[in-house]
Amino acid sequence: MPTTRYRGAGLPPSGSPANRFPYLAEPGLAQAVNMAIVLERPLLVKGPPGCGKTRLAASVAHELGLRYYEWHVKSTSRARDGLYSIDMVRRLQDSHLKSRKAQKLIHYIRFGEFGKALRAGSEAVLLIDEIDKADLDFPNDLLRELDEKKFTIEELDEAELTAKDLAAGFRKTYEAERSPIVIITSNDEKELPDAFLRRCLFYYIDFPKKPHLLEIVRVNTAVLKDLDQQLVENAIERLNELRGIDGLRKEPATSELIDWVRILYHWGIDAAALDATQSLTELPHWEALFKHQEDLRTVHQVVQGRDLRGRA
Amino acid sequence: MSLQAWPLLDVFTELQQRQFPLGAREYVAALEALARGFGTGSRDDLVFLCQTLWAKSLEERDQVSQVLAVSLPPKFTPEALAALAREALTSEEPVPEGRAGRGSGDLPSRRTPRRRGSSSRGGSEGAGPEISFRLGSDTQGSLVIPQPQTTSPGGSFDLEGRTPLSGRRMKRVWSYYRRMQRVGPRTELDVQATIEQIYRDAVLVAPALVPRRRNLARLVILQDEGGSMVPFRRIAGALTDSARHGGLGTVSILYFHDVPAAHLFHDPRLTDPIPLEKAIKPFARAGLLIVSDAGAARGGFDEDRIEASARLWRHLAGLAAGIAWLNPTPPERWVGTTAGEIRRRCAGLMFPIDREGVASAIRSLRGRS
Repeated sequence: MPTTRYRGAGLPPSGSPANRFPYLAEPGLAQAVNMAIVLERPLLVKGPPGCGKTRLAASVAHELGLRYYEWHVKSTSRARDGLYSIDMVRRLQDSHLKSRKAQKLIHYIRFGEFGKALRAGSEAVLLIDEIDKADLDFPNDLLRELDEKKFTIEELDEAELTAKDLAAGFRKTYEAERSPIVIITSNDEKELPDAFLRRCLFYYIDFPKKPHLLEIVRVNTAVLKDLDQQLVENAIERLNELRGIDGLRKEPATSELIDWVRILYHWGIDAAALDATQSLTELPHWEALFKHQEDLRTVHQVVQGRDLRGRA
Repeated sequence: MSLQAWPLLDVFTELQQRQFPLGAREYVAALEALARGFGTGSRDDLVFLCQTLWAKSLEERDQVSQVLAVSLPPKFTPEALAALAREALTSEEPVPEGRAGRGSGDLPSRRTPRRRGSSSRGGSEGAGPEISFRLGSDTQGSLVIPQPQTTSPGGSFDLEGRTPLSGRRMKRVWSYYRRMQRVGPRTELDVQATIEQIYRDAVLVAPALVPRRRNLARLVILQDEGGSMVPFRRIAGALTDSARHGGLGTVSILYFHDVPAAHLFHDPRLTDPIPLEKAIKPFARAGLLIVSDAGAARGGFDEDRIEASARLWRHLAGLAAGIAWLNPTPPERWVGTTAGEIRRRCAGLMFPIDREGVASAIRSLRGRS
C-alpha cells in the first residue's frame, strides 16, 4: 500500500479533533495529493467555482503540520516576482540620501511566496492560486524552478556576499532541501502551455454528491450549536433542484450552500420550511444562493412556468 | 525485458498519438507510482492513476478511461503490475531499438483499425531516443519510447470525432494574433523614464509609470451554420471556443447560411437577425474570419454562390484590417468545386482547419495593421 500522508479529514498531526481544519477532501483528491507528494510533482486542481480548490492547500498544510505559503496570481503577475523582486525605487532613493545601505543589493531583495517556500529550510506547502489569470508564458517561466526546486538571483553579484552575509542566510542560488508540495488551481479560463501541463498531476473537483455534501456542511458549520441535520438535508435537496435549472449563469455551489445554511440557522428557520412541498421561490432566503440578477429572474421564470403547468 | 512487458506502454503511446502533452518522463513517473503502490488496489485505482498522471482536462480524463477500457491487459492483477513496474525500473538492460523489439507490430495492431492499417503498410512508427534515468540512489535503467506515428492512412474514418487540430493547440495558435498596446491605468514602472527624470531634476520625485500592454486584437467570426455545415459543427465550435479563450481583445461571432445575404444572425439557430450593413460597421480595423465549407461538402459548382461570395469578400476585405477564410473540409475536396473557385477569387486566402492552415489564416488576419 502506498504511503498516505494526507487523508483529507482536516485533522492536525496530533490527531485532536478540537483543532480540525474545516475542509473535507473526497478520497480521490486525497489520493491525488499523496501521489503528488510522493512523485514530487505539482498538482493542478480544476473545478467549478466554489468547490474548494483554493482551500485544499491550506488543509494539506494543516494536516501535515507544514508551513504554508499562498501565491495569488494576478493578471499583472510576473513569474519572477513569485520568487523574488528587487525594490529598485527604494535603492534609488536611499542612494540619493547617501545611505550606506544602498551599496549592497541584498538589502533590497524581497522574496515572493514561491521563493519563501524554497528558502523555508523544511518541507512546505505552496499554493499557486488561479494560475490561468496570468499571461500565457507565465507558467513556462516557472518550469525550471518547479523541476529543480531552486532559483537564482540573477542581479546579485556573488562577489558582493561577505562571510557575514552568507552566515545570515543570503545566497545567489537558493535550493530547497525537501521539495515543497505545490498545489496549483486554475479556473480554466485560459489554456495552459503544454510544457507546464506535462509536469503536473491533474484533478478535477466535481460538485460533491449528497453524502459528501452533508459532511462538508457539517465540518464547516461545526460552531453552530444544535444545527438541525434535517434542515441541512432539506437544504441540500432544494439546492440540487435549483442547480438543475437550465440557463443559469452561475450555479450555486458548495460555498453558497454553506452560507445559506448559516443564514437559515441565524434566523432560526425550521426544517419544515424547506421541505419538498414548498415552491422553490418561496424558500426562505433562497436568493442568497445566487450571485447574478439574471439568475434570479431565470429561476422565477422557470418556477412560474412549472407552477402554471402544475395547475393546468 | 521485451517491450511487450513494459506495463502500460501501449496506453501511453496511444495517448501520445492523441496529442496529449506527455514525454518519456511522464511514463517513468507512472512506473514509479506503480512501484510505490499507487494504482494497484483495483482496476479503478489503475484508471485513476493514469488519469491523474496523464490527463490534463476533463475531456482527456474521459479519453484515458476509453483507452484503458480497450487496452488493459485481460489478465490484469494489481500485484503483477506493481512487480512489473519495479522490475522495469531496476532493469539494467536497455530496450532494443527499432521495430524488431516490438515483435513486428503485433502489439499495437490489435486495437484500432487505423493502427492495423499502418503497421501492415510499414507505417512511420519507429523507436524513439533511448532514455536513461535514475530514480533515487539505487534504481536506474534505460528505456526506449517508440515515437508516435504522424501519418494517418488515407481513406479511414475517424469515428471518435477528434479534430485534426487539438483544442489545446488551437488555443495556443490564437496567441499569435495579438495587437499589443499600452492602454488603461498607469501601473507599470518605466525604469528608463524614471532615470531620465532623475537626471533632469537631480532628485527622484516620483517613479514614472506607463499603462500595461494589453491585447487589443479584435476578431469577428462569420460562421456558416446549418445545411452542409452540420457535420462540421463540432470543429467549428471548437474553433470559436478556442478563439474566445485565446486571450484576444474582443471576439464577436455572427452566423449565416451558405452565403451572407441581407442579414446576419446573432445566434446559431438563425432566429435573431441583424441587417448586413449594420452588422459590418464595427468590423473596420478588426480581423475578419469566415468559417464555411464554401460548397465543398456537397461538391457542386454553383455560379450564384460564387458570385455572391466573391462580391461579399471584396466588400469586407476593403473594410477589415485583415481577412481570411477557414474551410473545415480537406483541401483535396476543393478542387473543381464552388470552394475552389471561391478560393481563387479570394486571392487564395482560404485555408483548411489544421495547424498550418489556422496559422496562415492568422497571419492574414494580422494584415495591414
